[in-house]
Amino acid sequence: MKTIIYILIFIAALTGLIFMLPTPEETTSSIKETNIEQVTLNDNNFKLTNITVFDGKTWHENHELIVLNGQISHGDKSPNQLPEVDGNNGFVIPGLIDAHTHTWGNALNEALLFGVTTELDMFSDVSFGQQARLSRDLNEKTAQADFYSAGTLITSTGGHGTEYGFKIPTIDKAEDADQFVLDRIKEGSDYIKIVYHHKPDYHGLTAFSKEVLTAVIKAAHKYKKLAVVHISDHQSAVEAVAAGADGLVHTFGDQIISDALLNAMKEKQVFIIPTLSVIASMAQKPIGLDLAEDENLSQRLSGASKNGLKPFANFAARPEALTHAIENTRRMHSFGISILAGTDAPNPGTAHGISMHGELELLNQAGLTPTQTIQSASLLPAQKFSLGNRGSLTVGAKADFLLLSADPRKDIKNTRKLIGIWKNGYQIEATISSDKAMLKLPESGLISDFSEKSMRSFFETEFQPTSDQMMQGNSTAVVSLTDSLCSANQSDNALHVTGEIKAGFPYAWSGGFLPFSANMDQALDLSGVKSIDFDVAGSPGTYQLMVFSLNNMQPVQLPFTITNDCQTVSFLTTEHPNIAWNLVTGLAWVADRSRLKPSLASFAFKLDNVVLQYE
Amino acid sequence: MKTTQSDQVITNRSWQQTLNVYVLEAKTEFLKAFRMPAFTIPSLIFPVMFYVFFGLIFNRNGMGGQMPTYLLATYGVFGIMGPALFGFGVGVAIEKDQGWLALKQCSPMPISAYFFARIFTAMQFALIIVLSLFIIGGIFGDVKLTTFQWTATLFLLLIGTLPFCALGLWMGLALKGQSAPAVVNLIYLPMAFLSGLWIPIQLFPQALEYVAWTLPPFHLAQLVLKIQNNDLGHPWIIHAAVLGVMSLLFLFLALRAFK
Repeated sequence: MKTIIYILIFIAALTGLIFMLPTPEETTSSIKETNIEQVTLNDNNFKLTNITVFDGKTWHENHELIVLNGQISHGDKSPNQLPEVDGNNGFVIPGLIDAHTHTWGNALNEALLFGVTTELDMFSDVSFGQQARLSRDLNEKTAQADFYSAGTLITSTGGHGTEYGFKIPTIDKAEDADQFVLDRIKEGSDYIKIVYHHKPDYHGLTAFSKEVLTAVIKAAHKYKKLAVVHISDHQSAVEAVAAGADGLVHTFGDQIISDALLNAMKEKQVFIIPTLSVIASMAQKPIGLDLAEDENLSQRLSGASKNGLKPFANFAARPEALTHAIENTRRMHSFGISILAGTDAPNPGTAHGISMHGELELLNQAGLTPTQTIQSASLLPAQKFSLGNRGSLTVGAKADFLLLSADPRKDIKNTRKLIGIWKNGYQIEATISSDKAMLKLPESGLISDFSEKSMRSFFETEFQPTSDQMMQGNSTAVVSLTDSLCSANQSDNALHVTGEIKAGFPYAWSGGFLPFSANMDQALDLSGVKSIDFDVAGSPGTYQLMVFSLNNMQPVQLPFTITNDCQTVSFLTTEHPNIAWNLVTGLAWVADRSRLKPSLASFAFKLDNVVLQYE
Repeated sequence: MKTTQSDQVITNRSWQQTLNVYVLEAKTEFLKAFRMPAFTIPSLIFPVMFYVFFGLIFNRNGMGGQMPTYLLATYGVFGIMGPALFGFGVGVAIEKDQGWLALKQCSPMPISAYFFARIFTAMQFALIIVLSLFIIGGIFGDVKLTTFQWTATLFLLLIGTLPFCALGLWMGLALKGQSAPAVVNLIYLPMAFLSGLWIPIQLFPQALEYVAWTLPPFHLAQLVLKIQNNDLGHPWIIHAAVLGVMSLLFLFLALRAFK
């Protein structure tokens, strides 16, 4: 009897254990059947795999990022069926924070295109700021960088800031400081930016006294706001630090920094935003134009911004101003003073977004390691300006990040090799300058029906075999012409694709490929097209339609099923908003690694009537 | 009527007595095995340790994230092979040399109780190993299977000990006690490797894959992998048939060696 009870208890425990083991949310059979919706990435819940991640503090090799509702999440909390995005051995760094900009118009859109996901504005129109601040705490899909702003800067009557043609309030007496600062905070200023110069009169501008400066800083601190000071020479920096500034928003090039100032800055933990980009421009060094020439950046650059990258006009060339500024930054950095990356865009020689990559290069020249340089544009500004869950990629952080194709630790210029930009967990679509060559759509919609016994497409390009051999894989592919696909129209031809999937490259593929232009540098705007249709039949299984887009090395894959019978497959463009439909450069029809099993490795299918359906 | 009743009582009693013999033998056999650390520790620890190293730490994202699930099946096979091969191969060889087996044959106990106890012990070890793998895979490996798949995997692995018991029995009867541990190890580890239990068979060169077809663990692994749809895609009946034929062959060879 006792034995039987033991046996029953044992069986109950075993059953209980088995039921407690994790099960998928859907049965395996239904996973196999869902196909087309699986890769659609229209939301901010996904897993980015196969990447090296810099989380703001440390690098993680062979890592992945899990994004839930636009935030970085724990690996173990993720729902089972998160869509996966292959990072292709890329490098992920936090979205860049430009700690010194002047923002209006579509600046936030342009910034985001180059990977700047947050801008710290240092003086702009109050009403623009009130509008732009609204979205920064939302996790919605956006085409704009987040926005923080000092609002109206604090300057003297006739001081720097008043010369731009619109009226701003000014202050000249220390006793007005409290109310003046309070007014700025009521307007929405996130921090207080003050213009200071040790001479009351310089370059035709005025400046208020040391006493006013001290009173304004004191008032800012009273209302728990950061007080940052614009200075342009060493002596002004000394006095601003003495007055209690939390940070300096420029460095200076008039002389090499004194040990006294270094010590004072270190002791008071004053940070600095050197804005070497704008100092280079004033020194007539055409750093911005070099950026415009950079092939990784130029295609994201609008004509207007490109114009902005020309250096300050009518300035005398003062190369020593830049070398001093870099040297001062170097000394401050090696002395342990926090350096924050900021461009002062859109001053002449700089533009929103793109100039950040130039600033990073200059900071790197000033002795920051590439990792420290990235921190100067992510973790540090987030800490100094209390930007919440920005600037890092640890659990709970905003999913603002950049995917780079090359390691920025090896060369800081690799921050320009942007494969993908994510804002609030949504991938940003790449856009290009309008002068980029675009292809014409076929009037009939027909891309290729393989009539006239030719593999030529409407675009005069030919179908070609494609396989992972280009990535050192072992799969093979052959394309040829064959008899009609469906028995109905015997006279017709179809593309015959055969191949073999073999282990070698982790993401094996093999199939047929149609580039729309010889070098894939011309794009087709399919955003107005209803669907891409084609006829297929062949070895049954799941295949992928790869959609290539301009400046994106990674095609988006859309799975579809092939059966022995001829059938038409149709992909609606509206169902796949993650694809840059306006910039499609080619299509490929491939078998994937689901055929890795030797019994499935060999495949053959016929493809015909590739057609764009307009309404 | 009376006689029939008393007959029944007698048969009843003898049925219970027989069961008792089986149970006692199984119990003592398990205790004996369990109290031999040289047997227990490698049998229980190795499959789990290898699974943690190769499945969870190094290859976690292999095979499109399927690696922990795949290796759960193959290290399950690896795990159940050990107690079966060693319990029979080494255990029987030593007891045969010591004359213990002859003594058991002379005793009134049916000799089948001796073999049954060893099979049962191998299965109990198999159960412990497979459940440990399940728990580790489920908690740390993100392995997700339906309850049916978990159950089927468990039972298939338990039944899967039988061919290896047969193989072990043949080796135990054919080998000398001193040479048995070395020979069993020489067969056990290469056979596990070549059957794709440590590294997925898909990653093997074609020639090695043909070798795998001649090995019983390969067929059991394919059957278990079929449950989670990670097998090579051959019909299950082929693997089951090969395993059955191999088991009969081992039993036949064991019988010859016994005589």
